[in-house]
Amino acid sequence: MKMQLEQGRISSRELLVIAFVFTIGSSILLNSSVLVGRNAWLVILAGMVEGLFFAFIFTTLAMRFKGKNLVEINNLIFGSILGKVISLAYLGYFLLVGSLALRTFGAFFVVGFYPETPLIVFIVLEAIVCAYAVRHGLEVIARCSLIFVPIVIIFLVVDVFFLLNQMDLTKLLPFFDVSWSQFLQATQAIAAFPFGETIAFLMIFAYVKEQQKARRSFFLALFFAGIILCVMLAKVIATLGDIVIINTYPFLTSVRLINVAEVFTRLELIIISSILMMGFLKMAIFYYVSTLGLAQVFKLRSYQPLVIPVGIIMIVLSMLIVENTNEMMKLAMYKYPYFALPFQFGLPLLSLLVAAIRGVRVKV
Amino acid sequence: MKKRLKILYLWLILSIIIVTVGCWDRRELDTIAIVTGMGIDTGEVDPEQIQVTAQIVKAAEFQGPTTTGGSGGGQGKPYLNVTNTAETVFDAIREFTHIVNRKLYFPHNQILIFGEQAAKNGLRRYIDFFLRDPEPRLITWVAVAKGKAGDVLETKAELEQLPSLNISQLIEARAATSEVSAVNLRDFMERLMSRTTAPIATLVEVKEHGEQKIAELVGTAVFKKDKMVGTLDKKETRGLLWVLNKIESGIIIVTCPECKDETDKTSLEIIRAKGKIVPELKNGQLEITVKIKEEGNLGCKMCKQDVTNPSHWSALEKEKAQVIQQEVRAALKKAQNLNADIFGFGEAVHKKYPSLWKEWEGEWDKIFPKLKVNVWVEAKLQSTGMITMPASPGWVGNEDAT
Repeated sequence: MKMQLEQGRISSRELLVIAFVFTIGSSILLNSSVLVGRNAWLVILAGMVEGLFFAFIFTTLAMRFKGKNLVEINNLIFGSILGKVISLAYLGYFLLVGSLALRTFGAFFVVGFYPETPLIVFIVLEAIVCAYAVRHGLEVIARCSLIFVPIVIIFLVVDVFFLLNQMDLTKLLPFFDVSWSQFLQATQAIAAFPFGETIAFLMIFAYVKEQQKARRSFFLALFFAGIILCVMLAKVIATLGDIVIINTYPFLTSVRLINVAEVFTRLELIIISSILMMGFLKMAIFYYVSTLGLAQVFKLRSYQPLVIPVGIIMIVLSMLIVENTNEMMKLAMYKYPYFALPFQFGLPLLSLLVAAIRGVRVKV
Repeated sequence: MKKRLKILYLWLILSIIIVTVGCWDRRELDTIAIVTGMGIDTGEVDPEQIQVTAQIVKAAEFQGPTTTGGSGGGQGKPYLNVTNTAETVFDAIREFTHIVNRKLYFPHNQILIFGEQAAKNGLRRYIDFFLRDPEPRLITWVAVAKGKAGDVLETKAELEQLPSLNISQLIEARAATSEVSAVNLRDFMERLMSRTTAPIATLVEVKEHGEQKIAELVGTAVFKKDKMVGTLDKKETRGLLWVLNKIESGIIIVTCPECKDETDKTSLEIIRAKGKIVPELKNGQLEITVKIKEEGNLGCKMCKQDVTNPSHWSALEKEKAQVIQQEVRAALKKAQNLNADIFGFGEAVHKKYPSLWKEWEGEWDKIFPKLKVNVWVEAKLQSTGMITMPASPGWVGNEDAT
């Protein structure tokens, strides 16, 4: 048997935690309410259901090929040449989305806190930290997430708790106050970002120790992430009301409102730092799967030599992918949901069908 | 050897972290001018231009609470008001660097005051900067000055050293009377973004007390979209706050129901109150019912009638409900005359009848002035305070008293 590039193994609980943090990742920052205003928190739930449907398809694929990652699965189903082409398409998508995540966080810091600092500074800093984690492999990323998750959850709870005095839950009413077409469009946007992006985990399922439990943990992760995103967005809408529609970063704006008896104010940096932890994991996972996948496609003996080149590609891509913040927001809202559909839904479904027709299975 | 190298690396990383904090966007304390209040007026020469007044703290002139003048603190004012006129707010603010050597720093800004003329022209032109820039905060108070905003920032405050801080604390102290509305930038923008709800802001007036000019809160400025269309006085403001469920405390003055003496009034203190807007459809006709529940104590009584008498007590409660009713009616009348939905009736209807709302939304300007509003008040009196009957001779053995 060929030596595997990734020797590390993660437990199903670690999978749950990584997938959970990955899903919340950067989408908690961006404004998901542009299309639907105060109904956005309902849209998150609908998007989660659609995302779980996507996840059902690609986890079925992963379950059929236990112990094989995406590149290996593609080789088995489509043969080594077509399989590699399809793998490269996936890897290109992962690189692109990873770069977008880098860009999102970089732009966030520039717009929100450091208007005069060049964007590239933040992007390079993020990439260096991620490169360090990727170099040390999956187990290190998993352990990071285990440390980060309690911190993140504590800060999110603190955030909601401190904003209770500013909230007015009636601002969430009336339910479902938009047309179906807007609702569905927004739902697809949420399903594509963040839920569908978990397609990257097709590269990781193979390294979960308890293969049987992997699927259950994964679904639980998506579900919890959906609930957290929904609660956080409901919090934002209940504090900001209709202003949420025009905000670039509604989450940040709502955190800046915290004022408990003039003592607990200006807490945004503390709470945002916890968001950065989630962002780090999201960037690191995309970085990691791209690097590992490329090494496999090109049959390298180790993926470590690719870490720095891939990092440089991601930095360059994230600088070039969009020209300005405005374009980035438009991309995330209107183009990305349709651009991502083939990778999150089309290709996995096609793979399943071809595998079923050709009767390809993993040999036990 | 390897371990030593690791420790060296660690030191290196730590020193880099410490040395390179904020290379670009660093703001040292001695290079910033902390702004605590902003005033925005139309230009004196060209009304299309914008005159911005910023109140900057002069830390060196600040007098500590123990300083008794003399050597410690300076003799001058602890603040500096700078004024500049330009095309846009941002432009005016940046051009302050021609007058003040430090860059203005906004996160500690307490209050944003708009001049009357600027408010009448519409605030959209001026307010965008305060949301778009990352420095100003949404918890800043919003006020409208009768006259010029810059004058309000020049008023004298006896207990506070900064006029801007004084006004923001006056707004916070309004809870004692609930006769002035307190609106921060978030509330204001939320109303501005609503299709039907009219924005409101605190109304400030500069009054002359002998030689001194002092700032006084006098009520509420009412907007239609982003243009100021009128004002509410203190009583009308409280009428508005009853409906908005923003009453915290206050004094209600009633005539004693027994002696009916107009000069001997009774004051009742509001302890807690709850207001609710209930839209209803009656025979296809939209009606609003405002439900107010109030609870209070007897605060002071000028006549010598026996308040412990149950019939007197309930008569007082009725009188109080009447006064609340009148205040709400006054606010309603003003709002309907101005055709400005300051109560958020439109939003309440939207929430209760989302499907019917689509027809009404465009017509709201026609519906609101004629809207039928029922006011339902339940007022209760809890205690008589530390004494029962008013101080007066001859309670013992008085046949009439019981």
